[in-house]
Amino acid sequence: MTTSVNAKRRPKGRLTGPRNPFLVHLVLIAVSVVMVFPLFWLVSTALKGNAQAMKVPPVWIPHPMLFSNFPRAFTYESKQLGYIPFLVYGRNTLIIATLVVSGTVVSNSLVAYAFARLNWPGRNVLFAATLATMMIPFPVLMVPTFILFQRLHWIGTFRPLWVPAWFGSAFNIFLLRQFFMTIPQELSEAARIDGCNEWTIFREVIIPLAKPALAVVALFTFMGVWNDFLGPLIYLTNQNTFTLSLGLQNYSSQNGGTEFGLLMAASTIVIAPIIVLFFFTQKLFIQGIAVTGLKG
Amino acid sequence: MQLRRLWTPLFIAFIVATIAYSENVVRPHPHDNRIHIVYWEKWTGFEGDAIKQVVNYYNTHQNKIHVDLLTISGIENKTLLAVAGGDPPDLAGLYGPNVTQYADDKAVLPLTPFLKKYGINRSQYIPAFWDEGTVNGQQYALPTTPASTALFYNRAMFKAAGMDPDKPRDWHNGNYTIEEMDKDAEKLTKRSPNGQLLVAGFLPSEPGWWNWGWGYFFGGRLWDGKNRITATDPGNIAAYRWIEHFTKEYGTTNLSSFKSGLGQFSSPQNGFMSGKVAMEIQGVWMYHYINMYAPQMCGKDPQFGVAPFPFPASRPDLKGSTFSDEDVITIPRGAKHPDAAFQFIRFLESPKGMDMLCGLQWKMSPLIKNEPGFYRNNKNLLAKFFAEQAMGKNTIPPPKMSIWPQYQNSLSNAYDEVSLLTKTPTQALEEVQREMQPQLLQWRQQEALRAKAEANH
Repeated sequence: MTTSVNAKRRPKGRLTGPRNPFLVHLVLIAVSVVMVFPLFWLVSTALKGNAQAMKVPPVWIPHPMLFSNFPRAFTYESKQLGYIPFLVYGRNTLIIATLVVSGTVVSNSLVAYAFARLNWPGRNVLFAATLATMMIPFPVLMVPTFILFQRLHWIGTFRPLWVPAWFGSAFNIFLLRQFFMTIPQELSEAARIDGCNEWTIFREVIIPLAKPALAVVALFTFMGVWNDFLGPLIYLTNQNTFTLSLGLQNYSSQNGGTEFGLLMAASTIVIAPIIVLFFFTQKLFIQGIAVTGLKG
Repeated sequence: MQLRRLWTPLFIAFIVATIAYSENVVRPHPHDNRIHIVYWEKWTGFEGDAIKQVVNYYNTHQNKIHVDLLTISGIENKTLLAVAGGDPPDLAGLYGPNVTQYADDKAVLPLTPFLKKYGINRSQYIPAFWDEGTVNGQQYALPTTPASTALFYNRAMFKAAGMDPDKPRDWHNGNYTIEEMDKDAEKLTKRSPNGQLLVAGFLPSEPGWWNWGWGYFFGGRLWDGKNRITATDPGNIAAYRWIEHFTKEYGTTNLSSFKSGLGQFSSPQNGFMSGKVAMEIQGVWMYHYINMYAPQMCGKDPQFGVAPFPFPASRPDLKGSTFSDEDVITIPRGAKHPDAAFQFIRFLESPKGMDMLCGLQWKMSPLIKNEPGFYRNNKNLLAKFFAEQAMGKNTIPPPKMSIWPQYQNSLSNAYDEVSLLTKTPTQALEEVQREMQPQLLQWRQQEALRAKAEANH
């Protein structure tokens, strides 16, 4: 409203200028509608029965709204699909996400610190080698890592999913290194004069300043783990250890007959934590993306 | 400051506690003096529910073996990966067309020794379904739920067009020909005044799952079983000409806009169920889907009928041609308890096990002799008809070649090119021939080398 009032007050020539706030808002609103549409469709379908979900032309606002899809998706047991232990899947996903996010933040920040702030022989060569590991696609590593974990008797446990996170990943190391390098060396030097060792400098000086970058790493990792399908599919062999993304497939039938309302209700529940998390950490997240020069 | 010092030990304690909890979650079953066998199956939904009931029945009716059933998506890849990694399940429910590749790769155990020991043989099965699990004389898989195909037709639409509603079934005592079907399809087709297609009598692309196999309905073959691809077989060319005539009749744009207006298979907007396609080739499962999405078509005077797929007038010997396919059960190589795994297969393949599984999945049984009343009590009223279809002499199983996925892909491309009129049938099939012949020879050579290496061992 304010925008349109301001626009009216402006001199005539400005109205057609490139910074016309009305136009800018119009474009932004149009783009946001496109962005929000899948989410709207998800929630709208989550409130529909199967017949409504498949109707052509599509029903935008469900009538009647079946809020009962949500409790049903949680405790679903029927002759059609059998019981889907959704809370068990949620617990498993949370366990893995906690361990992976912690491991990623701890290990990558330590490695990045060594690459960014310490001078040691062979540093650049090793950094280049670390970056080179990003070029190897996952399918190439799939069988050898599977065999490795199988020899360790880790198949069917959560370990193949979280232990590697404690050993760093090239992308996150690179991201944090770039950020650590922007922190003035003078701060570390001042701390050194005050008698701090490297560990204290890392903990007391660098980490507090790097919160936005660490938040970005943590959030991206969390989203990655939460949505990961292939890892759990390969390594988990017991229904009780499945994650949410694996659990969602139970709502669809091999030859069709998918209960779309329930699938979407379950999907809404699955993505809700990520949306909530994003809302709460939005400021930190945007700041982190801005300072690390990262684009989504 | 004091509090900040506590952060690190608290964090470490939290991580340790989470790890301990995670280990507790994945701890294996307590020892119950039973052999636990792991069974991976691809089915979800009502099909998954059916196998769960069979497994539960088995687990509660004996006390030596416990089957741990796991629903797996992408089973054909995951099983191969698990075999390569040395940690496969004891049982894997694969798709029929996977068997040759798995047997070639030595990824599944031959079942022949077990079958001999327990007196299970081909005579107990509908031959087409037994044979799909045979590779080079050895049995590598047994059928779980089988399928065959036929022509579904909309009786109400036949009636409305002034024809006998059961013409596809009854015409000339069940001798419905492709030529006659084409004529009827034209009568059933409806166009808008500007020529736009509104209702199609028949389209070979609906549902489009067997585009590779139309040649068989015209007497074509895809390979000679040895070293020659026969994509350019006159039967295949005749089939592709027949496919081409539909596009020529309706026009590419008109046809593609019509097809884009049809809903998903498993929805009430399905072309056949919504009355937009009057006849189509479908399998035994269709009855269940019509029941689910178009129950108004069922009832005492059903609006649909089913008949063997017609044959070319010049080839009465091709009467009753039907695609036959199945899901199978196998024991992957490296399984920890192959003997116990076969005990479950024995139960599953008994009339009791098969009738439970196939009945609950609304399918026919692959066995010749079933429990009394199996077909009478089957919820799928067409199950017996489809079983009879599969017993005919003109069954069309997926070709047993390791290179079948590539061949199928190549044939589908040819189908698209012909139906879009970008190539003539001969051109498209010659290209398939050129592409696949070297691949076939390469595969045969590899096979021969492997056989030689095994003989030397």
